[in-house]
Amino acid sequence: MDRARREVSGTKEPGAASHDAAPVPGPGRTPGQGESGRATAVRLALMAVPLAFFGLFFAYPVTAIVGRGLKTDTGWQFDRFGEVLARPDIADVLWFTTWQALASTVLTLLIALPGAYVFARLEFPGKELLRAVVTVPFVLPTVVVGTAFLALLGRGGLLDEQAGIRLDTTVWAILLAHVFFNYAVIVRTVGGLWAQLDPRQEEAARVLGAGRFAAWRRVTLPALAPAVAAASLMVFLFTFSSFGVVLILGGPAYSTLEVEVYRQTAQLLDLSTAAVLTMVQFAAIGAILALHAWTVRRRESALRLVDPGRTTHRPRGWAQRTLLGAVLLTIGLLIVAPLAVLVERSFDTPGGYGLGFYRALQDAGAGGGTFLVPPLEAIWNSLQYALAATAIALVVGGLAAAALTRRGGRFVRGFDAMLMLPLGVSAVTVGFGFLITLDEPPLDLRTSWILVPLAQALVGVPFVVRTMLPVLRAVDGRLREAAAVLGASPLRAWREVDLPLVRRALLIAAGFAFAVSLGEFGATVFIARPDQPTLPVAVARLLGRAGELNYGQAMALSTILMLVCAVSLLVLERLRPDKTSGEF
Amino acid sequence: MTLLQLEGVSVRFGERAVVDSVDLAVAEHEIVCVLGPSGSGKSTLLRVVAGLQQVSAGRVLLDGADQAAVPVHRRGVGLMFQDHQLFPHRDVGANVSFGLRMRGGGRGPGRGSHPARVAELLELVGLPGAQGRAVASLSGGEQQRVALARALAPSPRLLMLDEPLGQLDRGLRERLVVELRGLFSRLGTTVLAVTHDQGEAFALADRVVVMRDGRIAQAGTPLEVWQRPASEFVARFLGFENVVPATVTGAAAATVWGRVPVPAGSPEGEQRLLIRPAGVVLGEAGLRCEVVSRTFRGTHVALLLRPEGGPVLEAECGLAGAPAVGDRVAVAFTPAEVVVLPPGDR
Amino acid sequence: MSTTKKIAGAALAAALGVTTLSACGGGDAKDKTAGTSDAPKSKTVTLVSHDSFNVTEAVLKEFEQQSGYTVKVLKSGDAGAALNQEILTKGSPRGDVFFGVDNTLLSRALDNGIFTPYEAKGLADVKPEYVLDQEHRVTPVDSGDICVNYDKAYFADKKIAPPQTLDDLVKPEYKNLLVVENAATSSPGLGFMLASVGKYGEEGWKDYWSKLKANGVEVVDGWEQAYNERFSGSAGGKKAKGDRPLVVSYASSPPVEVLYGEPQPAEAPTGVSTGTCFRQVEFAGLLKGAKNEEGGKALVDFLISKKFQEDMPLQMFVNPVTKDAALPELFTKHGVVVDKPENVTPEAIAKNREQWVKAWTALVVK
Repeated sequence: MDRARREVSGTKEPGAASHDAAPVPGPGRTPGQGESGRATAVRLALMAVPLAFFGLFFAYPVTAIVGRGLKTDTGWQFDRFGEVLARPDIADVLWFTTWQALASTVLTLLIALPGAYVFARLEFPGKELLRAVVTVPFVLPTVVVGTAFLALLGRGGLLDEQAGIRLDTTVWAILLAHVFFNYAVIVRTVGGLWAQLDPRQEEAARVLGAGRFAAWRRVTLPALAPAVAAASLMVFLFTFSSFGVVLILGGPAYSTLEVEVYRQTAQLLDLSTAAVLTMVQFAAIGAILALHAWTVRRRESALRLVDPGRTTHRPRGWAQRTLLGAVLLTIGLLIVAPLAVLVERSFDTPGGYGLGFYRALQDAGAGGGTFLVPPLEAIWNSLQYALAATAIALVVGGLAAAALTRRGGRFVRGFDAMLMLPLGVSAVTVGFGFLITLDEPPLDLRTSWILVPLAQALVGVPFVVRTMLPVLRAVDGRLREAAAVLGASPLRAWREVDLPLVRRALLIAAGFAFAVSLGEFGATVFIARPDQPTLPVAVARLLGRAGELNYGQAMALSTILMLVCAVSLLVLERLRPDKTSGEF
Repeated sequence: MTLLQLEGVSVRFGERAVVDSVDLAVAEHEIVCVLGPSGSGKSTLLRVVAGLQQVSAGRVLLDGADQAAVPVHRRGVGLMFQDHQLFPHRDVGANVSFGLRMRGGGRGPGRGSHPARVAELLELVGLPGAQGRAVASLSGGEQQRVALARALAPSPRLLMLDEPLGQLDRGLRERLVVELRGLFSRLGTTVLAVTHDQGEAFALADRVVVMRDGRIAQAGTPLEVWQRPASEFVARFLGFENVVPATVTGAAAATVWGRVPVPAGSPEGEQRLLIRPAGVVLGEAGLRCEVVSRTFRGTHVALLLRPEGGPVLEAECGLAGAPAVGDRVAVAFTPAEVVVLPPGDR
Repeated sequence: MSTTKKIAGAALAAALGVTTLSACGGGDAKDKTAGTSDAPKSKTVTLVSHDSFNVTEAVLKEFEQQSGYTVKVLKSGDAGAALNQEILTKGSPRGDVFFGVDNTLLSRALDNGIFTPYEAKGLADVKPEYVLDQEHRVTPVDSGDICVNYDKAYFADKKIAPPQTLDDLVKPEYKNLLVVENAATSSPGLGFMLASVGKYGEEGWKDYWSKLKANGVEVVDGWEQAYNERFSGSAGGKKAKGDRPLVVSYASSPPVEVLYGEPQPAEAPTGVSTGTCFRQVEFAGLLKGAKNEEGGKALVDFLISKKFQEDMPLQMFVNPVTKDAALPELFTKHGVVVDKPENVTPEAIAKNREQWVKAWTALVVK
């Protein structure tokens, strides 16, 4: 009933504001009577591939490994839950995992939201480059980042020298590193939408007497809410399942669920404890997703999106200049400085600054061992895996987002939530699950290279969905109707209307998926593969050995990884075609 | 030859019937205007014809063929949205050629852009050379013209307009109505338009359909509807305020305003009576009134009169000798401007 | 299970249609390995190992030419993860031979029965103390010592003798100098803990750690942090201003420092405290259910051949296990010989490992 009324009011009369955006039923939809058969069929068809993908490469393997842990000849051992959860050390892990994730998310939001604004609305020299730079941390292996961060926060680091403060082995180091990693998530997800919000709406509120902040809070913030919620959720999931950062910067005293699952599975082979912890992780993530769905459901609304190119301007007035300065300073200290340390170390050879370590990388393959690969080959391997993973993530995530564009019942929301689950599940759980499920023809993929991009795509898909969905849902349904009336089939209308409007979001999503797989380490390492080391794997190998040359080469290779990532992201951003041409 | 035929079409949102058993026919080359207030279901009617809205009951026939199984994009009708819904990511030319590309199926570069046809259409709507302009840079009137050109481009067998001139200022609106009417008759376009503005409807349409609460209240030529509103609702919607209960006996009716002559052959008994302002004539004798307000309407002056008894009365008089506010006048009624309406229907 | 898999397989046809289609841009180079199952199976032999496995390509080529087999190497995670994956896929292994189970994990591997007994040709040449499984389910391939390393420059500067034994480490002159790895997550961390168990017994080792703790031992999570960040004797540690001149690492670390010095130093910058060592022995075994058992056997033989044994030290920085294998000059010149490593039997490790690690964590980390 409620929906029916809203949609009736959506049939426009001249008295209504011309651009208000009451939801209007899409083609073929009968309001108030649920979906028509055709719409349901289309939705199910769109969902088929994502469902098959998740069923086969996530649900099935994870269920199997959990089942292996909890099921014996005498049946399910649910009493294991009580035993494991009663352990005080596990309780500590649960508590720490939760609160550090919450604190990291809040801190990231506080620090990155101004950044999202600056990137969305202000024009300044080097913006494109900086946008790529802030994304670089996201793809760096944690081993490398840990090194960089210690240089900043640890003994003798910048902060120690300047202020006498050491933050390593404190929670602050963990939290700041989480901000470092996830800054780009907020800037890109929230900023992507922010750039396309019509600034005139905020202006209208100002004209109506709202102060600058009040206008932002009442007009822009509600419009951004879905994107903010989506981005926060991702940050939470990432930090909830944080692994390397906690180990390296927190020291052995801090442990997250993810670390525990890894230990129990990969080291102790205590599958029943691991299964219990995995289930706990599932429950926690399920609760978060439910909370997220609950807060977001009624807040998304059709937005008037405009070309981002028209919303940006040079900073005006002292307030905007100060904000820009503050954001640039934050980025400089928090993101550029640690990265700069890596670059500096890659050039800091014993004989003074030089290219020695880079030259050593070039000779690496010549020694004849299989340990070192020529860096070009590692780059090529990385790019191949990342491209494959991105393609899979875009196909699966794009179809899923298309299926989810029109809101639906519980089943649809469940599907939405399901896509997010892999973010909260350990790579080792998935990797071990692959082993015991994908082991019979035609599914014997255990030793196939495709398994690596498949696992990486599991993490990429949520990015694609989360980034595209708010924008897809914000596309005015009547544009599709206009296209339909002009003779465009639903598919064609999607291609002609939705796709161009969400292309930017699509590129952002692709960039993320690509970056994530480029720097992905966990799955790449756990999944057995013919020896085709990617850049992160090569870096980890070098760091795992003594010797000055190895360390220097690791820094050099990390620098190359950063460059490859930054260049890839820059290229992606440049792909945006000429705005005035109506074609693509 | 009937192009569009609606048979008993109903649309229900939950309990509420937004469109209720509507029967309507539109002949080829005819311009039909659906007129009604907000919420009368007129926009939904257009959506039904376009296939954007499923019917709860009834049939939609185009050229005699039931459209139930025909999806939106194959119906071959055009719809110009109230707020245009121009594609923001395409320029004017690409917006106009969109429908041509969809029908033509051309895909490759250069193909399907139909430059000649686009230029012709832009010329037609008075925006020559606007092909390369960004949609966002257009004024409201220009957007409207582009939306029209876009809707016309694929030469739809039926063109539907939702509040076609809704957002324009009055002068532009009046000029465009004339232009549109000329354009449609030149092109021989069959048009189904909806509007809430009776002036627009009467100027544009061959036939007017007045809707109320999802039902058709009256259908006829503009003149018929104007002269013989079928109900008090229609009368009031057309802007007539002089409606009072009346007891008709023979050639006159008893009202609070006194005896009013009625046209010959009017139904007798308890009725309601409409006196068009033109039928309220100032004179020496008759109902005594005080002038409450007067408004110049270009060719005449509209007066609001407070009679000794009964509600206020609208009247018209010539520019010369119009009374001033506060003047006491007497009015008589001309039977030609009096309409007896069925009772009870408000 | 099997019917589920068939259904899953059918469903895959749909999903994979998309994924392979979209992925084919990624892959010609990799197809040569993925597609080997089409070749006559006896021609390919697959070695599954951990990430640290390395061999000189020429050495491997020579084996391939002599034996007629093509060797495919699969690496999957660290030693623990790689072994656990083998246990999970028991009966349907991904390869024919597994290399990389060490004495701390040996019992788990044997108890789970993932190996087929095979007495390798050349086993007679292997030093008998390494042949821990008399049924020959596993064959020793290499050994290495986990020892405390010291920063020579630091001790020369301070004019203190570097510590040599576990007992030395709790002495006041070495207070706040040692950094060790987490025994719960790091292989050298575990090895060093086991060294203390071997030396002081199941009763005494906790006391020793109490003393170590009182003497300011620092625990970090992994070898990379300990060696590259905290240890003052390494290149990374110097840049990171590491201030711990003692670190738990490997006996082979000093030769590696020389090999990868830039330029190569005449002498290693670090030394080994030979009285602090735990010896790791790594084994290989023929996997039960191997598709190419004959090839697997040949591969195990190859792993203890003189050629491979002599190639190994500079590839994996471990010691050969055969009597006749000559050590490279780098090792003889810059390495040390650990005469008396501490010892704990695989059985005792298997039985007590988790409990020891827990006790260690409670004692040292918390």
